[in-house]
Amino acid sequence: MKDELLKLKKQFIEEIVSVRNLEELTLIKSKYLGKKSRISEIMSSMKKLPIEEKREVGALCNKLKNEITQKVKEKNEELISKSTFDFDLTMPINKNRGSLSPITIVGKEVCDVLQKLGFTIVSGPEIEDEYHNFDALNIPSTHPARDMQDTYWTNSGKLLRTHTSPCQVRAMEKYGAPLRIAAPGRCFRNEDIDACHENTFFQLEGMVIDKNVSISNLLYVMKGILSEIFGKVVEVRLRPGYFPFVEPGFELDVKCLICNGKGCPTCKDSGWLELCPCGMVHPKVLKMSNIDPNIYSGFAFGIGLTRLAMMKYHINDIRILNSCDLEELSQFDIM
Amino acid sequence: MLISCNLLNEFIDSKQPIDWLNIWDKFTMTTAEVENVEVKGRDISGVLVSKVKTIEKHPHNPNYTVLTLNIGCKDITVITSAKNAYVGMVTACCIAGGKINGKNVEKVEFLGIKSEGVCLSEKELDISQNHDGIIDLPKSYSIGSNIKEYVNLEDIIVEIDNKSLTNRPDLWGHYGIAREVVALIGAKLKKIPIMENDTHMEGHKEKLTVNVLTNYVNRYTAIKVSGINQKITDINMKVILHHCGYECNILTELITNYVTLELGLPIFSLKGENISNICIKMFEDEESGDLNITKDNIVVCSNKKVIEVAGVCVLGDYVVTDKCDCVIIEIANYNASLIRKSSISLHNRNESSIRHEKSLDPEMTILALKRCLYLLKEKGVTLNLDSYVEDIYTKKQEKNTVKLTFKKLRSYLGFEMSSEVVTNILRKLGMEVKLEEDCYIVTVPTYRSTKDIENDADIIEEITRVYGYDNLKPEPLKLSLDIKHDENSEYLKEYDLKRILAEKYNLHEVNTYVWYDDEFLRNVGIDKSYCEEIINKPSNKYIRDELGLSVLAATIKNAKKFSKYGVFEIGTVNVGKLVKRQLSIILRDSIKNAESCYMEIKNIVQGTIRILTNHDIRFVEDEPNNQYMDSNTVISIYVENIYVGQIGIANLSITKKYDKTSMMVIANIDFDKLNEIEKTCHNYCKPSKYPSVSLDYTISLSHDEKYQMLEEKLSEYQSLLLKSYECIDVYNKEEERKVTIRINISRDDGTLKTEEIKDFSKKFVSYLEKHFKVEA
Ligand SMILES: [Zn+2]
Repeated sequence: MKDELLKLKKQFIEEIVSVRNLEELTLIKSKYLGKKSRISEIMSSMKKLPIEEKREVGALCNKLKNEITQKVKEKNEELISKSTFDFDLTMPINKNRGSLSPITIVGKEVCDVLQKLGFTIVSGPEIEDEYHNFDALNIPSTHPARDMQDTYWTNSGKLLRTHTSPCQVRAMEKYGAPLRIAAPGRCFRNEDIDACHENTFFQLEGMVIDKNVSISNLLYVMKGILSEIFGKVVEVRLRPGYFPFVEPGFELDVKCLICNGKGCPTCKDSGWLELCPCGMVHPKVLKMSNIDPNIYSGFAFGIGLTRLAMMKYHINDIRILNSCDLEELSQFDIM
Repeated sequence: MLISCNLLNEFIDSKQPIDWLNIWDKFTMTTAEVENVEVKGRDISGVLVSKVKTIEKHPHNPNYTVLTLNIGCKDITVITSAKNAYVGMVTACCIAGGKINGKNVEKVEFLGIKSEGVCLSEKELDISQNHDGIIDLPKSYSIGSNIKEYVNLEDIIVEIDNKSLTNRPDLWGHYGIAREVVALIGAKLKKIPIMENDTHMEGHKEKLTVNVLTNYVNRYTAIKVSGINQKITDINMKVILHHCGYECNILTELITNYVTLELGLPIFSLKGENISNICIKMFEDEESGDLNITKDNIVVCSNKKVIEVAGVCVLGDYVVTDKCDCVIIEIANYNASLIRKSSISLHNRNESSIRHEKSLDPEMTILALKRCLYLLKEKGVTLNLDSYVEDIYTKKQEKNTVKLTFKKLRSYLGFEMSSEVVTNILRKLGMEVKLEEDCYIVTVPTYRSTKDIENDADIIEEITRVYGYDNLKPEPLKLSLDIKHDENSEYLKEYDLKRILAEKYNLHEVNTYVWYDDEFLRNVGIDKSYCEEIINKPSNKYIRDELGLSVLAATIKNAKKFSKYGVFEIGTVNVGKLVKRQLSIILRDSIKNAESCYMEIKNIVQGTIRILTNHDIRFVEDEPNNQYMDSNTVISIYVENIYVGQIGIANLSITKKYDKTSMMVIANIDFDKLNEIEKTCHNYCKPSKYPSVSLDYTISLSHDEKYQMLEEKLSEYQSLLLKSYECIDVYNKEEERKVTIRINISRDDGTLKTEEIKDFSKKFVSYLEKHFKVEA
């Protein structure tokens, strides 16, 4: 009997180790501790044994029972703490991610920079009237820009705005001076589409009006904005440029970001990249929107968001941006 | 516009030779954009003036001739395919060892005969486009000399961006460019030689009368001359004209185009024999050939016939040919915008009309005419002046006077510039400057008074650009802090939403065009011709009145490459007279996943609207308000009882054309409406401190019964105890659905008693049973 008890103990230990869940544990528990278990049988058959032996076997039985109970209890705790969750933790998850248009991403970056400098971001309608797109910007009725060749006109006499500049006018009308606004948005030109030309593109218009705003201020602010956008200090220069709503008008160049001014194909060996048209707001434009040019002056600038996005992502074909082709566009993520 | 440095040199008096290559950088930085600088003729060498002595057919190939050429010191043999050689002809030959267009010329053997050089055409010498034969040079050239001794093949040709000259009418000719260069480098401008008022100017034989009958003519200057049919050419004028883009075959053309290059004014010549009176007027009913001239065109007439559309073109019968001996040379100055409109209406914008559009200085017409006469005479033409110089000058060009205060200049510059520097700059540019106590009084020359310089900002531009923009130092901007713009930018709101859609729901942003695609509309059988239309766009001209269809086309475009995806756009639409912003979201999945896909888009719509407005939304089954949604699949979206959009599955009849197994579910949302809805802030509401009880009921819905009906009934149920309900389980079984609802009841003022719960349940079940089949 003593031998059998030792054997039982050994057997139990082997079995309990391989128990994986609570059901199995219950089975083992009843197998070794239940009324019909071998230990119970041994205990009930003990009566026939001589007293000395009875005491010895009885003690052994009780010890074993306690040991088993303890082990079962331990196992139970172990199983409960381990829980019943049993699945492949390494299965793949959905790796899909959405994407924003590169224009949206770049537009937001530029807006962030401008907001830090105290610009308010404003919007205006893409389908504009002649007054805001042309007249109020000192673009006379005879100006070439108004031609059918350049502007899309609608049958109700409106037009698809050719630049974001009408937002200047709307902001001046709404807020007067002083003023500091930026207006990103979509613009349209009657143009044939190829790798470099689109009839639908994105610009950002900026405008500052205050007392004593000078050309030197314009230089400072533009240099600051562009340095922030490109993430490094850029060198800028002004060249004469002609836009009816500014006087003097400039083309602002930045020192080529690729060759640093040494000359490369991107800058056509000039060392400079033409980046944004700008200028001092024309006195007539101020006057038309009821701002006194004898008290206030200001500057305005346009940044080509489409161009900027192409530069940032090294996109060499403008058509990709409006292609709606997810194979192309899904690469741009969210940042 | 192309500019020849050789021609500029003629107008500039400079002690040292001018370093043209460097000047153009400065020009770009101070005046106008130079797009290209091309060095001409330096790749041509060893070209000698040669005389043809003998001509023989090539013995083995009749298409070639063998020439014996005298090149001064000796005779050489040259094979040519040209047909125009004749004995005694003086031509140009690049002899072996020389270079033509950068290529070395060597002795070559051609079918047994050695050719010791190459005879050249005008085109090969870059003198004209003529490639018909070898060049026929004047007999006066000394045989054996280098052709460059006679012909100015070497030049620097500069291309200036026309756009950057839009506001500088004075720079449309070489003389004007020379004047600008002189101001920049500090040299002297030469006077341009013209025919002076002498006896030659007094025509008499046959008078030309000119009548101006419209206000659109500022000045009209003309003369009738004869004796012009002479074989006189000037090869160097021809070269300059060719380099600047003009090809001239007859003398009148050569002279008038040359003066146009010099002075910028367009010059017309008319066949003069039958014209003795000219009348310039708005078109009425004159004979006009087959041109579609209207009363908006200004015309030059003679004897009730149109001879010229003013500033645009000469009518066929009056175009000067090489046979004409009598011509009228005409230089006019018209209202710039009228000429522009006129040329556009006739689809004939050309060199002349483009120049007229620029508001050129009318003071120049008489100068240009006298310059033409001078050049004709100088080139040896024995001219007869048949008429006086007729000069009708109706609108005298005045010099603008502009006042520029010191204060204004300082404000624009950001620093004080000495009056010495200011006056020096302005005087260099031909302006008169008077200093007063607090301002400059500037008198602007006529050539810059037509539209260019009118106010103080224009003068400031002149001062700063010549001073050098590079000399201006960036200066921090002192910003006023009292700017209070209350704009809650739509742009930023849109960005936030886009970001959520991309980041949280893995959707892709697309940019579609603001107009519908004709082909797509045709394919899906939808008519949008009632929409606002772009009048000058031949195709795809209807401006969209809703965004969903454009985004659907974009979704379909990707159907072959991906199976499951979602796209979105926030874009402009035009509804009636209103310009609105809309949001469209489309999910694409297989037809078998339609339900989960539909629920997903509902989930997205709810999520985005909550973020924008903080309101809950309500979906109501509805009819589609567009032509592409399956009418059995449409729900309308309401926020605070305001309709904001719809969700629906695109008609399979549309999408199946592109893709058989999948479907696309669309959400169209009126972004403007969402923006109008005020964002709420939910008040804090203390949860009841007494426990609530939840009760589950299972309701069996038949195929026709929608959850929406159950929800309506639940929301109508009146009980103070009912706090909330939710659908916790749905079990689908062939014909019916079992929906389990969990009801939460509680009292605000105490714990519910068992009796109360039982009572509620009894009443509630009997209420439900009136409408639905309720399971135990
Ligand atoms: Zn570069």
